[in-house]
Amino acid sequence: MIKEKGRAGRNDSPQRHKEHKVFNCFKGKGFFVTFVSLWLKYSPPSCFSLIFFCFIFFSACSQPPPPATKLIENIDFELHKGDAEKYIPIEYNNFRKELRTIRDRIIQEESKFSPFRDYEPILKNIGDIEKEGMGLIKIIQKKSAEKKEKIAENLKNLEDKARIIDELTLKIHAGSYARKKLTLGSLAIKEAKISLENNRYDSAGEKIETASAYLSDAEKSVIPLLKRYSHNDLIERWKKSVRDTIEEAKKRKTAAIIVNKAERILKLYKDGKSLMSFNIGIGKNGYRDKLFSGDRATPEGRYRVIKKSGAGESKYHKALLLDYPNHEDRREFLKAKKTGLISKNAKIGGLIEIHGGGKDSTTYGCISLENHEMDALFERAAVGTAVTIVGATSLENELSHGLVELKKNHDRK
Amino acid sequence: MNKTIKIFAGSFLVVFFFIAGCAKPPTEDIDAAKSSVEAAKLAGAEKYLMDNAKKVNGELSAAMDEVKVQDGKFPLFRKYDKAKEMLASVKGNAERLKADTAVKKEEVKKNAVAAMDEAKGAVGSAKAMLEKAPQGKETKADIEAMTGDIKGLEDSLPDVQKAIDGENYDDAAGKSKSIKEKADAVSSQVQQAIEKIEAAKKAKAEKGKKKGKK
Repeated sequence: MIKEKGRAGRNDSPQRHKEHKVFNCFKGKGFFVTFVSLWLKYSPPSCFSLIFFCFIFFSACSQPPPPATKLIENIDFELHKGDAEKYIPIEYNNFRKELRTIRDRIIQEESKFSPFRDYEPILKNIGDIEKEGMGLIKIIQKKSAEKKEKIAENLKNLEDKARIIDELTLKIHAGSYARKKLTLGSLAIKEAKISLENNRYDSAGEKIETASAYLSDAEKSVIPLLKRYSHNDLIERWKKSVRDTIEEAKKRKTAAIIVNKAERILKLYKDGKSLMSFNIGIGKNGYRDKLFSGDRATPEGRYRVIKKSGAGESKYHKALLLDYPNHEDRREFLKAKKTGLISKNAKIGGLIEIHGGGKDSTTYGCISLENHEMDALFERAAVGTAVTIVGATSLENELSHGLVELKKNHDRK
Repeated sequence: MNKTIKIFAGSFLVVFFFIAGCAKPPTEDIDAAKSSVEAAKLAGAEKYLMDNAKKVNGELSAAMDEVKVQDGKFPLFRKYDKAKEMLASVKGNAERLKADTAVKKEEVKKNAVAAMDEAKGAVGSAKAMLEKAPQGKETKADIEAMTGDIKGLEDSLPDVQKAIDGENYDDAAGKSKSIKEKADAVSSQVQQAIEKIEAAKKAKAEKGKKKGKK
């Protein structure tokens, strides 16, 4: 667009100005010519009046057009539209000053009597300013592209973060607060994308900040839980519990049940070997360690089957009742009450079972299996069978992976 | 005769210079043109019709330059006719720009309000679908998650109204679009969940029938 308009600007070359002076000076001045010739005819002029009339004549000559500043003005508009004030404030200010100076110089020249007008130095300056302006446009285009790229990169990071949090909140059933914050964050990301598409970078930047704040809130509600599954000491403790349970069962020549909450797997061991493996459902807040009644968490620890409920005796097909709470659970419950972690009125839970009803269920804290798998387990488990429930047996678990992903995303910022 | 012509010429020059010397800067025209341009700007011309606003600004600058050219001339040769013409044109164009801006602004506002209504509708229907969704052990957690999603959408709806009230129509439209997209996504998730449960129920019923036959 600027190039096309530039052609109009280039028509005002010094050559054209000269031609205009020579050929147009005598056009349309019949009135003055007639007036002067009449005066010369009837009143022979004195030297003074001759000079006076020559002066008037040349002053009234058709004026060469002043140099056009249209192209520079268009450049100025492009710079303004491209936020030059923000990217290159000093350079843009200088450019505008130069533009104003040029215009003032043109005005000055135009105010002179035409024989004394000289636009040539101005034309040269206009050329220089045009070049400078075009250079500035390139600079702001580059800066703007860099900014756009940076915003797009930030947006991609935020989208990744939102995706990770989305998966994690669904996996650990983080609750409606985390989901609400995640939704608000996702909306802000979408708005930022719209702003970016419309080249409204400042607006996009603001939305990104809003989205970051919301996603951080959502993140805060999942991080503590993820940290448990990335805690080396805790995982080592869980691994030891699993090892000890299997070893003890081997010695006693009995079966042992191991529940891995991170993998959502229940394994039946016999003679130290894994006999069967089933996918399971756990409590709504199952990735947490059960602390009190109604927290919908699945307990972690070493238990035993204390009762078997066959078909018709359980609401969920068949069930193996565990001796939850054990001594350690009671101790933790009292400690939590004492430290104010839970309400003074809270009660310790109970009735934790391994039951049927389907692996996709979210339970109140129990462990659920598909009914036909429960049948198989029920057959092989006896009252007294050891049941050890752990969070994970390796740092390579999905929740720990989620934390790593979030950290990676944070580092990319 | 000779004397008559001399008197005539002399009188002509006196009258000519007198008239020429009488030319005064068109202050009123300048003020009128400037206030029209300012009124167009206040109406939001630079935001809604940027190119047109730039054109009118350029015309005003050119007219002001013409006034300055004449101001800089020897008083006897000042002529403001061209400047007056230019200023009148600026005034007319600025008034037209103001009117066009009002039309454009109204159009943008209308679009923003329509987008907000669509967003509200989409959130409403997602909420209604979620309320109808079967509540069971299998769906409870998902429903809770989606309830949180909808709560987030509902919480962001007043921001759209705020943006409209603040005349940030682009922002309002962007927010509405995002809300609608998310609400539609929730609706489709709810629909999928309902279908999944119905399919599971159907499969269970068929299994029961087969067992019965055995």
